[in-house]
Amino acid sequence: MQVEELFEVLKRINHEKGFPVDDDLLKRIIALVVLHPLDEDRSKCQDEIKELIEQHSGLKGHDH
Amino acid sequence: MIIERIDLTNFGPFHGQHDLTFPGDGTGVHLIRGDNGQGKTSIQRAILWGLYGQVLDRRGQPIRVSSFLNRTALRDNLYQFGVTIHFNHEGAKWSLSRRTSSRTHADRSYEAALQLDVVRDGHVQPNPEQAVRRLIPQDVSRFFFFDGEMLRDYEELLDQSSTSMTLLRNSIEHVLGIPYLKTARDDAVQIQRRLEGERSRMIRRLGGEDYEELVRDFQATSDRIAGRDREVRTIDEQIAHLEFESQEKKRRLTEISAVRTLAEESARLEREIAREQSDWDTKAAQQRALLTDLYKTVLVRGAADIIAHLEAKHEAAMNKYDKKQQLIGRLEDTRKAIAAQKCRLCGAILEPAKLRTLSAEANDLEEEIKKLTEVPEPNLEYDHHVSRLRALQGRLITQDAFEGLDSGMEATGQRLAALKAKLADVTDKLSGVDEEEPRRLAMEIARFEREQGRLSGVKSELVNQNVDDLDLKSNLEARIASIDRDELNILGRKMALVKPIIEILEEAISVYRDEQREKVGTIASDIFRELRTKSSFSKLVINDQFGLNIITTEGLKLDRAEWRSAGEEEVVALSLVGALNRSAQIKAPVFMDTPFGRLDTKHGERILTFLPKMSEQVVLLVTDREFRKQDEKFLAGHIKSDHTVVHKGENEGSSIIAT
Repeated sequence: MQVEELFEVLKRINHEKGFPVDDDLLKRIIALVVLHPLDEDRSKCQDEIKELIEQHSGLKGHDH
Repeated sequence: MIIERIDLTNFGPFHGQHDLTFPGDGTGVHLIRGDNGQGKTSIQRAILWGLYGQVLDRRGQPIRVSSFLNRTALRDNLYQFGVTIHFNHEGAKWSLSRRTSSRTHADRSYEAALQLDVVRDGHVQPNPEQAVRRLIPQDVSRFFFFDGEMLRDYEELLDQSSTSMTLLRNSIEHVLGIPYLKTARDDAVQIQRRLEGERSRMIRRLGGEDYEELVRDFQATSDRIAGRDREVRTIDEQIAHLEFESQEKKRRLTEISAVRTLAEESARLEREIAREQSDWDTKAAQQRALLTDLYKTVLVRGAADIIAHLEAKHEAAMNKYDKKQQLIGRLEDTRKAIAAQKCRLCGAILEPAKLRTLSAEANDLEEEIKKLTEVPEPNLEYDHHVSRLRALQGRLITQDAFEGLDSGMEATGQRLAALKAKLADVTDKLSGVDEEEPRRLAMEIARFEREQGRLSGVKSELVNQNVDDLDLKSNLEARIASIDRDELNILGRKMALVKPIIEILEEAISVYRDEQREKVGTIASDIFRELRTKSSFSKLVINDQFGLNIITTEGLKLDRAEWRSAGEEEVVALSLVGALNRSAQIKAPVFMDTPFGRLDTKHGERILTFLPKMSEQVVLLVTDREFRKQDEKFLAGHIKSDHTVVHKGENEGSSIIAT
């Protein structure tokens, strides 16, 4: 529920900006942060977000 | 998070093992009754200590851990105590057990021996402290575990020092989930830096010394930009802080200036009150006089009959009196004539026969006078009585006069009450004014503004420097991008993707904060309308700092000074806490310790009716005085358990029994 609510805002802004980022990537990033919110989680969480970005950069999102 | 059972060991007044079970799935309203000093608050403290290993007092200071040891255990030299909380969270069964066992009764020893185990669905969590912080961070616990006093302090916090205010605002933002977006943005910024580092290393590897200088320049430029960005962010926070401080001081200054103006108003009000009071006194005296003469009004209604009766009686008496006087005159004349044996008019000698007739006539007159003599003489006080009665007839109290006076007094009384209330308000405000405060405030505001100006200047310089460096960076990036290597292109695409992610997250922070604030304000208003006792209070509005104002039905915005009352304060605070609970990204039970102590019956009843809607699980720790038997109806159908905490004596301590 909390991820959905945060994602809705991200999605809206992403759409307003002309979809520079894949919605799914934004959703997965915020879901990761909600799951790993502590300072101790940062390194691991950033690794996972980076991996997501790497996957998406080869797919779609910014090749326009 | 729904608590199902709490086990206490030698905690506070609970000697040995004790448990408190919330039946069923733990949802609903649970009552824990008990007089003061029985151990209700210790149950709440046990939960907080179990979660965080620390309990803060009202001033935010940690309570000494050694104070949690049961006294009997202490006497028995058994220095160990603990708490286990069994709860359900998002479908999983959890248990949290914190305990300590020491050789000496000392805070440091207890703290060193602290042990925490957290188990989720039978699996021991590797980092239990982290697991708790993920479930319910300590800084947001204030919205779930509080007492009536804290609820009141909560509104105080919104008014007071900016440090407390900032802490509170951060807690509110935390409970609403705003830090998730900030953390995500910071993570993205870190990833951007890592990717830049990777690209620099790759360029060096690919291009050897040819690209060395290019990479070095790029890295240095990038570092400078990142460093300045950090500085700008810090400056922004400092400026926001100064702005808030400055606004607070200005608000206070306006308040004081307004109060100063009101000082003149105070003198005017005092004069007006004196005038109205004198008017009221005069009317009251008139009313007293009317009431004193009221019996006359009742009596005088019969005065006309009495006067007529007295007049008739008087006239009859006077007639008899006049007649007697005439007869006496005639008798004297007759007797003179008999004695002289001559006519009194012509002097002619009277015949013996005539003399006998006159004698007989004199006898008749004497007889008649004698009869009239038996009639009482007229009452000479008659005139006095009649004139008094006539005077009273002219002073009859009419209903109109009485009512006129009465309504006049009421109007004067109302004006007086309104004037006195205004005066009390003004006097109250004036009493808090320190003569030197305005000057100090003005100096502080000027200092803040100077500092804001200086920081803005620094920021503007940093931003300008960054504009130049961004141009340089973009130029370097273009040159790097022109290096025809697939790996670099892929890395470039990743970096290009991170940039809009950062921008979106950055924008989302303020958008989400504004939306949440609006949402909290709307829910708080709905709750407030449910709880308010004054229908003239229409709704609440929430400001940037999550502070609240009441809006009246006439659209007037009231600050705390204008609606100050323990009941209203608690209702406003509860409306905000209720709204935060409903909007919170963290779900937890609500524990309220002696929440109705300061409330009147009406407020208490309304809050009771609302409580079941506040959270899935609500635990009320109440005294019999604040929660009476008849109050149960307000929680109709929602009470899922009812316990009483009883202190059985110094040795045995307290127990939790079913009510």
